[in-house]
Amino acid sequence: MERKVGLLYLPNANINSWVNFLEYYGCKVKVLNFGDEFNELDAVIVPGVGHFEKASRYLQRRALDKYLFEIVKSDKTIIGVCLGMHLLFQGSMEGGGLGLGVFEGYVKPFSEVVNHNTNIGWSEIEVHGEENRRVYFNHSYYVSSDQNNAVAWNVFEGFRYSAITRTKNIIGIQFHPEKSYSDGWALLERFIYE
Amino acid sequence: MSDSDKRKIPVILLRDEVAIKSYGFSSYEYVGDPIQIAHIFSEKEVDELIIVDPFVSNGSHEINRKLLLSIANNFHGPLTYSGGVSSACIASEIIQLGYEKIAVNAATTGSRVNITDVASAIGKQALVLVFDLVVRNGELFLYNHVAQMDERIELSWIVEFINTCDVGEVLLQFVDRDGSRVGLESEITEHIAKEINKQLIVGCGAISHNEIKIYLEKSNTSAVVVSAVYTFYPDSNSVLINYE
Repeated sequence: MERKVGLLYLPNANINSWVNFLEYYGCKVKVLNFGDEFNELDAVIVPGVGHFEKASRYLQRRALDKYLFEIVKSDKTIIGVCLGMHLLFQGSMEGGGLGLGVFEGYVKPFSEVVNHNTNIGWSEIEVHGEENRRVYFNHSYYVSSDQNNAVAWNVFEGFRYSAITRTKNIIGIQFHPEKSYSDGWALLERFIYE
Repeated sequence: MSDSDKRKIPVILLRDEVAIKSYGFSSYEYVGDPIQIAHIFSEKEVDELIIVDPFVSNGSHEINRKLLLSIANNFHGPLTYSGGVSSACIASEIIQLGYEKIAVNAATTGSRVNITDVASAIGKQALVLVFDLVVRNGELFLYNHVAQMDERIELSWIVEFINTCDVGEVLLQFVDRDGSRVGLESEITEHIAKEINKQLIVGCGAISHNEIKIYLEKSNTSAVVVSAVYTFYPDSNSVLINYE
């Protein structure tokens, strides 16, 4: 059955990657700006790529933070990816600024815990209760593995951190499912179709 | 659960809407339709793909956004673009087309590109700093596409430059090895890899799939960028888009 997926417009996000990916797997996609109708959608994605502080300011300036809270209250599935995931937390050390606070905790830099400041590449992640999946990461900031809502984990230079975080209808994904070929879709499909 | 795998990254070089192969960054050979080639690499689920338009950097034309969009529409893996990105605004535009990373050349930073501005727009993880290096008579030179000249530099200058730049990874391209299939450079690359806190990629000169595999196993680099091996039959210049 075709699913209708909203894609929140953020100025530095890889919007076209997401449109391509979702349409390839048979979803109908609607790019969302503030105030756009979302009732007919099955899920809303907050895409990644960008800088936390800039994105946080953009959300507040356009009242998109309030708009996202409306979607949260409506019980729609919301999926934040990479930077989109970070925006669901209370804040980030990437320039500062406030997140939506849907998840507790702050996003921190890799430079504090490992030798290299950015994790770029393919890793096999551990998913709670499921088989491991090979997915693509590209990020310099991470969410702690101790985060209460973590349901999947990754390791970078021996350091374990959260790869997927979830509370009810809100899901945060640190890697890029839209760039992880069939394994990315296998993980995302579950959230969109459940 | 494991640390990130080392990546093998094909590259597509653009000139007037076709894909080409370069030799020493100075002579070129026709390869094919870049959209078709990107589609083949997508089917092969390559680790990443880099699209380079070197002729934008020297001012011969504008960035071909329509072509970049068509390539992105036909490739479902991680994509990087390099060529003529001179501002945060242009970098954001390219990311929106469906690219995850933007590469900027070290020789043009400061004069044409402000790395800090670009990083604060798209995030440092999305920024690749490229050094086009020439080794001549035991000395090291930085090649500048815009000025079409090279400038003598010290290894320590490269290390300092990298460590003070807000980028996610660094690509070293050894110009004199480009298209030569004499082997990937390791001496300078290893020295730099041990001194920096960014992911390091090396490009130019790969001989074969086996050499790439062994190189990645032994080196401290996180990826290799490969052109000829993934473009041609072994020991020939007949086109065969391949990947393993």
